[in-house]
Formats: sequence, C-alpha cells, structure tokens
Amino acid sequence: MEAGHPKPPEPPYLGGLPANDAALPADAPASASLLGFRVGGWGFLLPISLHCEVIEPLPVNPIPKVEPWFSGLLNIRGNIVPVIDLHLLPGETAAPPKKRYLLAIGRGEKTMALWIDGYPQMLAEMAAPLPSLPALPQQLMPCARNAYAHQGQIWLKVQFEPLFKTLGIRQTHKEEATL
Amino acid sequence: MNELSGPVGEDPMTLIHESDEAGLTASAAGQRLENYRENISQLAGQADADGFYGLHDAGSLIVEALNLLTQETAPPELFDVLADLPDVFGRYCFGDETSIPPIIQILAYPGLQIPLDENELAMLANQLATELTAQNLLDDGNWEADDFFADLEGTEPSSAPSKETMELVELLEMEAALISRLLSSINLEATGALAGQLETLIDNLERYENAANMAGFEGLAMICGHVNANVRLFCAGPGPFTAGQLQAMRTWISGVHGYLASFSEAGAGLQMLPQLGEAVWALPISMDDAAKILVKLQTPPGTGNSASEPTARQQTATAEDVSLDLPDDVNEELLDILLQELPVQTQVFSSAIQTLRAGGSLADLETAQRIAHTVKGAANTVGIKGIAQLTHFLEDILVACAEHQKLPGHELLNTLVDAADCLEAMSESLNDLTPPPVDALETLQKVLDWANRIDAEGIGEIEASGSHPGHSGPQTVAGGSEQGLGQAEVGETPVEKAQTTMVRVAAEQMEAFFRQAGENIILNSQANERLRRIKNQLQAMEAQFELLRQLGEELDQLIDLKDLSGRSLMGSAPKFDVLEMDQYNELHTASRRMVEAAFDARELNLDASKELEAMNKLLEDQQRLATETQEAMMKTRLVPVSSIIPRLQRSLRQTCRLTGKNCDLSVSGEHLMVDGDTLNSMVDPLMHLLRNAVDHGIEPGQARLTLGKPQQGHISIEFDRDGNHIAVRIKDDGRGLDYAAIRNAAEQRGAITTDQAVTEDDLKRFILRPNFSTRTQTTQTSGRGVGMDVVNYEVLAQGGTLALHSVPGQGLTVEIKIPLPLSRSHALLTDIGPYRLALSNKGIRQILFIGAGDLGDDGAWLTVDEATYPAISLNKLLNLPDYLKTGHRTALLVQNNDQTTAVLLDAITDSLDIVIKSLGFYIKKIPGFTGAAIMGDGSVAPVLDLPELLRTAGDMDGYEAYFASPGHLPVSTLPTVLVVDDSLSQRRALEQLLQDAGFQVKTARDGIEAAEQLAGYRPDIVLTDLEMPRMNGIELTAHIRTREHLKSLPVIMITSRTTQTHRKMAEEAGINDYLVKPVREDDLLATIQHLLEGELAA
Repeated sequence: MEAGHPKPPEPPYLGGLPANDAALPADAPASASLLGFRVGGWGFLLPISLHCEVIEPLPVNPIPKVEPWFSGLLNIRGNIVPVIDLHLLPGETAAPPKKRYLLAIGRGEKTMALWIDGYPQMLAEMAAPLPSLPALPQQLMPCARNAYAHQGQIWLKVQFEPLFKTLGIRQTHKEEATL
Repeated sequence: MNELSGPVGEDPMTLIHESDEAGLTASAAGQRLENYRENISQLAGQADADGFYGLHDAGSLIVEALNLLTQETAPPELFDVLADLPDVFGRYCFGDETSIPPIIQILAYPGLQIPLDENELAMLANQLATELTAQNLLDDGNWEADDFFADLEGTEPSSAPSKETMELVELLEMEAALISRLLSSINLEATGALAGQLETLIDNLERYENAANMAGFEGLAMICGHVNANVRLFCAGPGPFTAGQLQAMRTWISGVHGYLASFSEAGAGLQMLPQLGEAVWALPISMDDAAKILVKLQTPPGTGNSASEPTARQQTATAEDVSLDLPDDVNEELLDILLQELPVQTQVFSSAIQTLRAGGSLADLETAQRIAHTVKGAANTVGIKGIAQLTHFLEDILVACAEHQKLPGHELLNTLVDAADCLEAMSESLNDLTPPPVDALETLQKVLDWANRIDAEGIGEIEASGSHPGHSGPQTVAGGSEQGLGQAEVGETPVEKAQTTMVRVAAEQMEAFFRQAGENIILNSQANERLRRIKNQLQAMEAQFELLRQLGEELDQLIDLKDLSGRSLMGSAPKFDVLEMDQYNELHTASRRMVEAAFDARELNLDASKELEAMNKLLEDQQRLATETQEAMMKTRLVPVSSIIPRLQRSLRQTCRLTGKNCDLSVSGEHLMVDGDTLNSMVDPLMHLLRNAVDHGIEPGQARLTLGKPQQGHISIEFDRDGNHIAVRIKDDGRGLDYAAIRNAAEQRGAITTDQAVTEDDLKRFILRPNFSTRTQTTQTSGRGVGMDVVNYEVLAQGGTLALHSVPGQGLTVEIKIPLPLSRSHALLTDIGPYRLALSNKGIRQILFIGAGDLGDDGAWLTVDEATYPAISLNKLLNLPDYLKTGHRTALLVQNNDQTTAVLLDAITDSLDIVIKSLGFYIKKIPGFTGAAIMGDGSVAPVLDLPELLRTAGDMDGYEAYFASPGHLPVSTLPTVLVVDDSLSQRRALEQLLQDAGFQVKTARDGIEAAEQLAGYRPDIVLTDLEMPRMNGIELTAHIRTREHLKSLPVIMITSRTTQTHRKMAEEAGINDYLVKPVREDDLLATIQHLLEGELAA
C-alpha cells in the first residue's frame, strides 16, 4: 500500500461512472456547470465538460525517490496514471482527513489522479471572483486563474493541464537536481 | 455518265425525281428547276460549312448556271443529269473518291453552260481530290444523307492553323466527329442495316487508330484500338448489340473530343479511362493497360519526350516553372502514390549524385537519369509543374552525359547537387504541406542554363574544360555517406520498398491498436498468474487427497484390528454365516468407501492437472501470438533512420558553405528502425550538433594540413539501439573541447574561483549549463546561442541523456540517448518495504547469492571468485532506509560504462517478461526509471534502469542551477528573428529556414501586428516585406527607428520591388539591408550574421 501516506480510503462505489455523469445530488443547482472538490482548506473547480471520474478503490503503487506529493501509480483500465496528493505540496498546512477519494482527471495517457477530501459536488457558475488570489502553494500559484468565496469556502479555478505539466516537469527534473 | 444513272438514294430531291415520272407541265418544270436551285444551294452551303470548299465551288457553279436557265431554255435531259447530284455529293462527303468524276461530268454538262475550260475543270477535280485526302474521309456505306446533314455538329475547322500539332488535332477532331455521327445514326431497331453499320464503324475506327498513331497520339491510338476490339467482340458475340453498349461508345467518343480539346493540359484524357473499365464493355480495360495508356495520353506530341521534333528549350525559368501547386482537379489517388514514392526517389537521386561526386561510375549516372525520368513522368501525370520541369531538364542533362559516356564535371556536379537538394526539399514540401524551397527558381535556372549550354556546345566540349569529377574543390562539401548510402543499397532496395502497396491509417488508430496489443499481453500474463495459482492449489489438494487415502487405509486397518480383538474377546464360536457377512459391519463399508473416494478424488485431481497443463500450453501460444502482434504493430510505427539523413546532410552542406570549411559526413546504422516520433524529435538536436561540430570543432582547411590532418574534416554519425534507448554518437575529427577556454569562461562567470581544482568532467558539465558559451563573438552558424546547453535541454526534455567525450586535438564525440516510447523487457521483481520494483535486465551481468562473509569493509566491497567489486545496496541507491536483512542476500553485478558494481538486495521474488510503459503524458521521466509495468495481479511496478541509477547517483551537481529557476531555460538564449510578411507561404518559408538555422522565429502579418509585438519584446533582428496591408515595411521601419529601445534593431527588407525609388525610400526609413526576392538562403543567412555581429560590436 501507500508509503508514508494515509491508507487509500474507500469511496462509495460508483461503478466507474464519470463523476460528472453521476446522478446530480438533490441539492445540486439547476444550472450546474462546475464540479467542485476539496483538498485541505481549498476548494477546486473543474469545468463540467472536463472528463473526470471518481474511481473505485484501487491500490496506489508507490515509487521510491520521488517528491512526497507524488503518491505513486494507479492502473486504470490499462492506463498507468500518476497520483498527486495536493495536501503534500510545500506550503499546504491542513491535515488530510482519514477518509479520502481518488478523482481521475482526463482521458487515456493524459490522465492524472488526485486525492480529494470528500465526494465532489455540482456547483453553478460563480458570480464575482475575489479581487486577488489568496496565498497558495508555489506550484499552484501560476495555474490558479480566479478565486471565489461561496458558502464559506474559497473555491479556486485552476487550469489543471498546466498544473499537471508543471508538477510533471518538477518531478522529472527536481530529482536530477537533488541527487 | 454511267455514274449519274446509278441508283438514287433517299435524298432531299427524291420527291422531285418521282414527280418527274408523272410528266412535266411547263409550270411544273419551272417549279422543279427552282427546287433544284434551292436544294443544290443548300448542299453547297453545307459543303462550305464542312470544309469541302471544292464541293462548295462546284455546287455554287451549278446554282449559278441554273439561275441563268429558265423552264424554256432548260434542256429536257437536265433533270436526269441533276437527279444523281445529291447522291454523288453525299458520296463525296463520305470520302468516296469515285464521286469526283461524276461531279466533274455534271459541271461539264453542256446544258448547264458552265464557263469552265478543261484545265479549270481539272484543277477543280484536283482540289476535290486533295480536300478529300486531307480530310481522310471514308467510304460511305449505308449512310443516309439526311442524317449527315441533320447531325452536323459544331466541328467547324479553323482556317489555316499555325502549328503542325494543332493541325493534326483538328484533323483528329473532325474524324472523331465523323465517328460520332456514325454512332448517332446507328438504329438498333433496324437490324438489317446494323451489321453493315458496325462494319463501317470498325473500318472507321481502324483508320482513326492509324491516323492517331501517325499524328503521334499514341495513347489515343491505343484507346481506339481497344474500343475497336470491343466492337469486333460485339459483332462476333452471341448477344445483340445493346443500347448500353451503344451509349458507352457515344460517351467514349465525346471523351475523345474532350481529350483533344485539352490534350496538352495536366490530367488530359484521365476521364476517358474509368469509363472504359465499365462492365458494359465486352472487354473492359485493365488497370495495367489504363496506366500505360495514361502515360501515353499525357505525353502527346509537343509535350515531354514526344516522337516529334523537339521544341527549343526555354532560356529563362519562371516562377510558374517551380510552382508546386496542385491542379484543381488533381487525382487524389495518383497524388497519394506520388507522395509515397517521391521521398524515396528523390533520396535515391540525391545519393546517386553524391556518389557521382565521390567518384562514381556511369551506373550512378544511369540511376540518376532513370529516377529523373520516373519522377518527371509521375509529376507530369499528377500535374506538379515544379517537379516535372526540374526533373525534365535534369534528365536532359543526364541523358546527354550518358549518351557521350561522360561523367559530369565538377561544376556541373555542384549544380546537380543543388538540384538534388532542391528536389528533396520540394518533396518534403509536398509531403509536409510546408512552403516550397525558396531557392527553387534559382536552382532551376542553373539547371536550365546547363541544359541549354550542353545543347549549344555539346557535353564533350564543356567537360573538356571542367575538372575531374573525383576531386572536390575547397569550397564544396562532399556529403555522401560512406557506409550507408552506397550504390548497391540505394540503387535497388528503397525503390523496391516503395513499390509495395501502402495503406494510410490515422496515427491515432495505430496508437489504439498498439495499446490494445499491449493490453493483450498484460491480460495474458494475468491469466498465467491465475493459472499458476490454481496449479499450486491443485497440488495442495493432491497432497490432501493422498493424506485422506492414507488415513482411510489406517482406519481400515484399525477396524480390522478392532474386529479381530472383539472376536477374540467373545470366546465362544459364533454361528457360522455362509458369506462371512457377520465379520463386516457398516463401519467396514464406510471406511472402504472412503478410501475409494479418496482414490477417485486423487484421480480427478490428476485429470484436472492435465487439463491445466493443456490450458497452460494454450496460454503460452496466446502469449506468443500477442507478443508477435505487438511486435508487428510496433513495426508500423518504425521508420528507418535513413529517412532523416538527407536533412542532416543538407544542413551540413549549408553550414560548410557558410563557414567556408570542407567537411564530409558518414552515417552508420541508418537501417535501424526507430519509432517515428522519437526520430523526428532528434532531428533538431542533431542539426544543432552538426553545426556546432563544423563551426567549433573542425579546424579550417589550412590549419588542418598544418596539424597533419587531412584537409577535409570528417564527421560521423552512428545510430545504435541500446536497450530501450536509441543511442546516437556524433564524432568529429576536429580540435575537441577547449578546457582552458571553458575554465576561463566559468571563472569569469564566477562559477569557480581561479584557484579551485576542477576536473575535466566538471568542466564538461559547465558547457551544458544555460547561456554558457566560450565564444566571445556571435557567429553565423552556431555562436547564436545554439550551444550544447540547448541540445542538452532538448534531450533531457525527452527523458534522454547527453554525454561528451573529448580528446584534445583529435575531436569530440557527443553521445545522445533517447528513450523509445514503449518496449518489452525481461525483468526481476523485488520488494523493498512497501515498494514493489521491477529491475530491467539491462546491464545485469550476473545474479549472485552471497553470504555475509563475502562483503568487506562494512558492505562497501564484494569479493567473488577473487574479484572485488564496489557494492551498494539498492535501498541506498533509492534513498530508502535500509530494510536489508542480515545474513544471506542477493547481489546483482551491474555493468555501467567500464565499471561493474554489485547492487545488493534482499531477494528476487520473481523473474518475468514485462511491457514497459511510460508514466503518462505529464511525467516524462523519473531519473533511474525507464517507466512502469503492469503486473499479473493488476498492480503497477516502476521499472528500474540500474546502470542509469548508478550513473545518476554519481552525478551530485551540475543540474541544480539548471533547473532551479525556470527563468533560466536555455531556449531563451536563441537569437530571435521577427518575420513580418503578409504572405503566409513567405512567412512559413522564412520560419522554417531560420528555425533550421537555429533561430527562434516570431512572425507578424503586417506592420501593425509587428509593432504590437515589439512593444512586448525586443527581437535580435527584423525581416520585413515592403508591401503589406495596414502598415507597410517602410512605415514599420520608421516606427522602429523612433522607439528608444528599438532604435538600433537591425531591419532587413525583403521585397520583389527592384526599383531605385523603393530602395531609396526604404533606406531613408532606416533599413539596414535591402534584399530582392527571390533571396538565396545563404545570402540571407550571411546578411543576418553580418548585422548581428555588427550589433554585438556596437
């Protein structure tokens, strides 16, 4: 199992249905266009058009000698998917909850999985962004576009592809630097 | 007058003739005369329209004569004479020469009083005969004059055509119109006349075939012969001649009209061929024949290599002559074939020319000539003028050389090399849809000049003044590969390869197939894993059943014993039972049954084991098949290394021209098949390295001679497969790395202090750092920031490695290793704590089981068979806490470069074949790992590359500075060129040229866009067009000169305007140079270099 990280939680089985295809919760806004999920103190917003799925409990296979936030690799239907733990990005202080889920974002080779703190929720487009971004972990900063306050939670609109690229390059090259 | 009294056909005057029999009244005779006048006038008009001027004259003379006659003066036998006139006129029109004397006889009839003497009549007869011959008209069979007159089409011949070919075409058009009319007149209902009509048709088609052949339209003649064969089959066939067949003939003849109207255009005659392949024909045309005919159709007289007199070659090449535009009605299928063949053909052509330069033979000349001819034909067929023209003139030159058994001289060879380069660039341009080469026009002109010169002076004369082809002059570059592109290989193999049938499939689909094939292997290994477990379970069951059987036997014995003892206890003799049944109770029966059941269960278990064995064999077969499938899929992604060599050679030649150095290139391993994407990604780094080698490494010719080296520098590129990597070594025989200069530069940058001890290896790593250059000056070729740092960055970005091996004075070898995307490997599995790791067998020489006593110095050394190896535990290599147990362990002897290291681990848990996959799109590479593999149980194990892990563990520094700050990425050190042009093709052409030359290129569509961009960054140089919408080049230059931070920015204007006024205006606006299109690549690069150097100096 996972080394140095909490044991992967067992999320409700969704039969591999894409999270954004799953039945809308009863309280979901009629005009839901975003998918929100939480990691630590932050809420993240995904456009509903982006393919993502909460995956059934699968073992995450850890890799030695990598950044702590790189939890390891998953086998999702024959695709090898890296798993990222945003909790462990430098600068993130909140402790992860005991029960966590895995959210895979993207398709095929271009898939990354994230540990998320709760089941994702559908949200309507939010009105006015906050005038400035709150202090964020260094890797998140360049990829965050806007921040919104909604129901007592700060939500971040993050460009995930650039974020994954940044993290990927970081992983590839950081290791050479630290050896 | 015999002919005149012959049978009368159903002509327009039949009624008149019939009424004659009823007897004439005076008014009736007048009316009749009037009718004749009118009808003969009509016939004469028609004859005129048909081009039968002699007949027209004859008709007109008769009409005039009739005008002078009245019913009183008209002799009574006149009408008898005139009665045959429509018939003879009709026969004349259908080519019957025997109709001429009756016509003359009518004209000479005294009753008409036509004022022609014998001489004049003879002249007219002569004219009639001449015109008939010219028209090549045919005997009238069962023709009806009504049809003839009614069906006349607009085939009016043009008067006195100027060119011989056009005359022939007109003749053929007229004859086609005749056949067309013949076909129109065929009435399928009139079965009696049909046979005769078809006979006529066959005769006509035969004549047409001959005529077409004589006129040089071989393709048309072939088609005609084919159609005629069909008509003969129709006639001979059992079934009737159908309406469908007749319609097919009519469609065909209208196709002939179409072809004749546009025979000189590309694709002419193409539309005729598919129709001839239809099933309605008794003998549909075959693909092979169609192909042969098509070639002939495309080379009618007056175009290409016709049989007719060669036309004078043009003197000046025009932009149209180098155009790679596809015709609007391009045949996609032919184009596809051309696009597949062209790169192979141009490459072979180039190689043949290179071999010629390196002292080749007439065989190379023939190869080049053959390819020029083939490419010319193909390009003509598709309609790509640029390629057709170039190869046409090249062929002329090569044919002239071959005819005189002369190898081309040095000067001519230079032109041929340029032309070969240009041809390859054109081929690439067509395939990549990139802009055509910018120097095409200039190259074509050179080729044209040579062709014309050879025509004028003869090849013998020219070659007498040329140098020997075997010696290259100092300014030239011999780019031929010594090993790879020899004649034997280039002459045959690639061409043969090109002839196999190809299928185009979307890359995405191939990716999907490939992934699925990989999945198959993984699933199979998962099934194997399950099987292995079941086998183990069956073995355990078998043991259990055996135990059960033994226990049963024991029980049986115990029961027997108990019985015996019981009986002995009873004392008295019991009542005797006949069957001794009293001695067996239920316990006996149960125990017996149990033993038997245990035995049966064991048998069943053995049967199940046998089934599993069979299953195992099936799975093995499936695995083999899946592996073969994957290998076959893999091959579809593979391209030979040789496919990028022409580009590398062009780059080298260009660099040599720019630096004035002389250098040759040899390539080995070019037959290696490599993943296409990986190979393409290597082109840029390799071109950088080649330029670096020429510019920094190879010394100038004279200096080399002083050093005792051959004047010509040598660079070799070796491609090799190294496990899951492709390894490329670029070796030059130049001066090698200048460590003193590197140290100096490092000191100046404060990277090291003057008294710091630094090894050569450390210095090597310095030059891989961003922005590190030992050059104090920017040079054209490689001092433009295209240093090792950029190459290193590009290689690392692909997860590869770069190593430098330098011997001062002898040269530098750069070794690049790029991982291939996916492959299979044999691997050992091991577990370290929570980590399951696959160790790729790469570099593992030996697996040893060792005791604690074999390790010395606290585990730092391993001694085996009196050999001592440095030892390190895998945990340490992976920065993991030491989980190692004490006592016995496993050691792997790993070969890394020249050193063997013992890697210690707890145990090997399994040994298996794995499919190595990448870590997805985002994580390109983790140092020390080649990827990951999916195990039989579905889990994922990272795959370790032990030699790389050992290597990177030794590199303690060098990369820190490199990656610490993204702002220092070396890409930014490339000099930037801003290209401003409103033409997309110009922008693209310049972009590609400059990128290949190692610049970072930005583009803008006009002055406004450029000005907007210039507000955000400052390029190193601007290339601008003059005329552009919104803001032109002059205005842009003026804008640049008014901005403080841009004031000194060099601006080159590239324009087609040649007048002094424009030049003056541009100079006044402040441009630095003014170049007129078309600009030679080398001139442009030299100008840029000059200006960049100037700015640096300023």
